[in-house]
Amino acid sequence: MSSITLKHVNKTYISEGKRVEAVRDLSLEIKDGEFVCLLGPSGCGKTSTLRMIAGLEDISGGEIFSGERLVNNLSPQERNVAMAFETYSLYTHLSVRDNILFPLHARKTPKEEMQRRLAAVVEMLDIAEILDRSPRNLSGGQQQRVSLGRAIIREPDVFLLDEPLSHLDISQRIALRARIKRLHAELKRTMVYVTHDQEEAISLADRIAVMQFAELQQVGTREELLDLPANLFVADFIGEPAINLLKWNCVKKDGHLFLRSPSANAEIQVPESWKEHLLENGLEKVTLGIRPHDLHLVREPGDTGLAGSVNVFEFLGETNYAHCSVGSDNVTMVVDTHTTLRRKEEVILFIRPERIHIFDDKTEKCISTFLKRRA
Amino acid sequence: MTTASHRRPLHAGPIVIYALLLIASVVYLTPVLVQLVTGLKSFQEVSLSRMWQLPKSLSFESFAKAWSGAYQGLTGLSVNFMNSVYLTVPATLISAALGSMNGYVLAKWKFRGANILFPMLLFGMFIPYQSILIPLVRVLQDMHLYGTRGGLIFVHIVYGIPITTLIFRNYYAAIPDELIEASKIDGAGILGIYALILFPLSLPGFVVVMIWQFTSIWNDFLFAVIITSKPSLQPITVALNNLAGSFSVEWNVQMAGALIAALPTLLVYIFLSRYFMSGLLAGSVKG
Repeated sequence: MSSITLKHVNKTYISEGKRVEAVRDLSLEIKDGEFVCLLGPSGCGKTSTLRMIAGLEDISGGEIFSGERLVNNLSPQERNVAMAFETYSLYTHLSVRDNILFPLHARKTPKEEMQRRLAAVVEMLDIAEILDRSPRNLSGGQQQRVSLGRAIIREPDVFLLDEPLSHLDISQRIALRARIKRLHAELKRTMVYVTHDQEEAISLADRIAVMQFAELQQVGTREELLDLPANLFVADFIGEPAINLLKWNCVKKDGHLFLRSPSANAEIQVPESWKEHLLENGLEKVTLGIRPHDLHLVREPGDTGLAGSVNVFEFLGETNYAHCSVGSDNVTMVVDTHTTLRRKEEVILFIRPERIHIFDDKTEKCISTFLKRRA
Repeated sequence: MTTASHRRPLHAGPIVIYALLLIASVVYLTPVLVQLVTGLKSFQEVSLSRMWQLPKSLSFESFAKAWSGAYQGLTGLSVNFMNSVYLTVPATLISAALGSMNGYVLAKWKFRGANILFPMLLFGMFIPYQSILIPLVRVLQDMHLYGTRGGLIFVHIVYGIPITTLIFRNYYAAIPDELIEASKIDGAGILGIYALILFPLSLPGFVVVMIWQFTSIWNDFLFAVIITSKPSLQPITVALNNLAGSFSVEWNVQMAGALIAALPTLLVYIFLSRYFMSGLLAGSVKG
């Protein structure tokens, strides 16, 4: 068992004579037993980070600790980590049983110990029937279960999972996702999980580390990422459907500060506690972020209403999406399953002003998050 | 798409191709036929004018004579045939094993300078045998290997390393790196990964390399004639040449001997060619 600490970690590759920064100044603490997802679009540096923790890539700068132990110069064999790969990486010339036993075999574990651990893994992963088969003839889900078995049998300090579900079809993906969640609960080991799929990250992780452009953008629980995004990228990347981002103006009126649509008679009063900061910074235009889940059709106390009309109504079953026009802006809202809206229907979208996000157009930082955290 | 079916026009292409193939086969097989036919004739029957006639009666005498008969001061080819076996088998196995290990390191453990070392190794393939004969003999003399079977084996192993390394390197390059990474994480070291993962996966590669090496070592004449001067050590290619005596040539025995000499490589190819093709292609299929 072990925590993992990354301190100012860098990774640079030389590719065709050019220096490419894959990871820049990344610091992250993963607690013992914690489940952390590295989330980001492809090429953001998440896999490089995982591979540096595994010892498969050299660390160009900074330090990685496993517990108190500096592991920078340790080989993968010496780090006591186990890994599941995107493409399973099973040994096709060995049976499922021998694949799972391979790590013990490579470390010359006594026979009885091997059998004892195998039995435990087989039960945990429900793979008794396929033990004698070749990995070649298994479905993707089965192959990834075998690969997880090969990781678990090691009883490693840390599990590293590199997009383990990305090649599975949807039903297998959901089943295996639940299984991974259960394994984490049973094994209580540190897990680091790389994915580009926010749904996976949200359903699995204790904390999510969002990466983009080789940098760590924000680390936090799913609620933190949704409610207190650090910047425009995180706000836009996290959340389904995606946050509505509107370029609105800051307007002073009767001693209050309003965000006003440039194309419609719609405005939202900025909460009083934020006003001063915005005025001090002399911002005239900002990006207003509104989560589709924060909009509703029924007025609640303190709400502001935005008049709009429905463009497209998406009936999805459990929740439905209404894509509306507010002036020239397109605003998506989530409505419950009992509500059906017609195209062109006039609606008023209600929101509590405290729920809006305000982003600085230049720095792309989230001003409202900064102010909420300061408060 | 319309459902109207139209008669496929008769293509001249395939007919021309088959005709050409047939002609080429005949051209290539004719000498083999003459060789076989002559080998089955008796000495009296062999003459230029009757070259194309089939033998009157089947006689395997020439084969027996070529194999074991004492003949113009030579022993039969049987000794030399076994010399070839003792030469080819170890040289093939050792050069394949070395090529496999070289290829493994070059493909999967990139080290500083690998990109210089590998082309230099390959350069060995492009050095003509003839150009290095004198230094070769001197080196073998200094190593006290000149004139021995060991010396000849050694030379074939060294000359085989470039091609075996190349084939194995390319074969291993097609095996996903993730497989190696998985086994590193699973706790296997550089030798463990080779023995437990790469080696079992490279049997098709071994078939390709071994057919290649077996054929070229078995058929080699130049190194053998330079290095082994003692008739009792000479492989079959050299002995076959000596069979053509200085006074008269017994064509039937000569032809029988040539067939005996060609038989092993022929058998190897007939029985292993399936694996040869699949081995060449195996690398392209992900493991």
